[in-house]
Amino acid sequence: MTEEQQKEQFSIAYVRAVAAAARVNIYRMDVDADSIDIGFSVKSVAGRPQSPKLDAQLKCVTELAGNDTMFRYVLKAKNYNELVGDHYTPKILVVVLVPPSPADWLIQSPDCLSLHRCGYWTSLQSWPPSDNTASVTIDLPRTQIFSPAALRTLLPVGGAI
Amino acid sequence: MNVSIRDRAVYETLNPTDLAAYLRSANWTAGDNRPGHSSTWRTTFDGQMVELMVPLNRQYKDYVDRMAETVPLIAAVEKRSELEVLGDIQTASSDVVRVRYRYASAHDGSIPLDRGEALVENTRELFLAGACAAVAKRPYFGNFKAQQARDYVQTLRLGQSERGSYVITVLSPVPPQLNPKQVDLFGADVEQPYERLAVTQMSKALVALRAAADEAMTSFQTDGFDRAVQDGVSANLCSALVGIGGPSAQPNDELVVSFTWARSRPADAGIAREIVFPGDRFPVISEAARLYRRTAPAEETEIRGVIVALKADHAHGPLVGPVTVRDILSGRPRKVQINLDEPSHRLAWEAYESRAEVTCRGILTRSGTNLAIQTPRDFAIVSDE
Repeated sequence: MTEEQQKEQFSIAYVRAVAAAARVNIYRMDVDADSIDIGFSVKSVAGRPQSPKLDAQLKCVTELAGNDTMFRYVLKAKNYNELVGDHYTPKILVVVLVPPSPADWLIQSPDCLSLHRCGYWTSLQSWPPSDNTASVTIDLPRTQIFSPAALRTLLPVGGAI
Repeated sequence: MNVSIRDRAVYETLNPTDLAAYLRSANWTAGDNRPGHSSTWRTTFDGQMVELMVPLNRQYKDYVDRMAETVPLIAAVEKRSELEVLGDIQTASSDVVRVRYRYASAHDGSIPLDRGEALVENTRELFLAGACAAVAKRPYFGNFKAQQARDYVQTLRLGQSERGSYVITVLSPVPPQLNPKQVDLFGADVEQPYERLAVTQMSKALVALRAAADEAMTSFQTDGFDRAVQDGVSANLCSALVGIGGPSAQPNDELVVSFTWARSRPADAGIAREIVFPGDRFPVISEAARLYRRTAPAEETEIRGVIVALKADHAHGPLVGPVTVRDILSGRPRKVQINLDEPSHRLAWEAYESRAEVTCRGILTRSGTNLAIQTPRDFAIVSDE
């Protein structure tokens, strides 16, 4: 397993854990060379997701530049243009920040399972398309932690599982 | 076979109209309809309401993602494979005709490579024969086929090959039935569009041809073929069937033509869904084609093309003589000779000098390798406008 694959798997595990704690289903895990695309739904029928739904593009990094309130994340132009503009289903970006060494990603004891460090989310739907060919730098608010509570807020509560 | 369809190209080309036609025929209820945005459909599964959104606007970034959710959801609700559901959606607005020729000597469903082209070409001729008969019944359709039939054949599409045996699948698009009251007491369509008439006529003709062939093999009489003309059988239909089998058709070979009607337009239950022709019927069908051609009344035809040769019979006197036209209407260019009266012959000179195309109607006859128009009429230069 390469380091990139390791980061992918860990970020998927992180997001699955958050969704499970929020009683939210995960569907459609598409992985291509640039990103992992996943979807969330509160309700499913016949094993298929029903509205309301939320799509997300998942990234995993070992460092994030920024200041006290905002991370600055460099997103590939292709991924950026997939996230901006009109969508039938809202789509967010989730960036999972992990320690540089995989040995520090997961700490476990009989009392606790701790995943390090944290995932952050943002919506780019109102941002304008970019003509950049390489990358676009976006803001990732430190307050927008991808948590079970945040996921339930992003997906309107009320759908039966 | 349970296969999950992951190819985005499939969903990029999936037609929302076909999807809606399928959902309507599968008794999903139309919900919110937002023109230019989406339509919502509902049904129930295990007592729960299921909702499906059909996206309509390709400008939305996740149009293909949303379209890709439709087939798996329908497959889950209907407990069928995604491949089956996808196939039914793609053909919801089309009558599907499958032409399968089974070679007794081939056990894997394959056919000789050099038969492939003949199979497709003669399947086209089969449809053209049915479409011509839907306009008017004749024992033979010569060069001049109804424009409506020729236009219809242009709309046909070759479907994807299917597993199991070599099958030509032809999709014949048909307008949806918008008014449920368009059926009579027996559920038959009272206002059939021509596209449906052409296919049902082909089915009826094939049934009549099989019956006539069976009768001829036992009684050695051809009366059945004479009666079959009223059911749409023609030399063209016979030749197309024989052409599909090829010159080496064996008695144990089998040709099967089957019909699946568009979900968007139910068909009369009395129309045959499958007609089988054993290989041993082909010789008598081939003979029927020959008899039809020989006994058919001469049919007027139309030719069109540039004049490639003309001359006057006499150095002095009326300007008359044979005119040779390179006719392009028959598909393959061919030279046809016409003997015109003096006014038409003068027009022919004018067309020859200006390299303009001409048209002419008449009875096309053949003498050896020479083609000629007898009793020509309506000779004219084709206008550029």
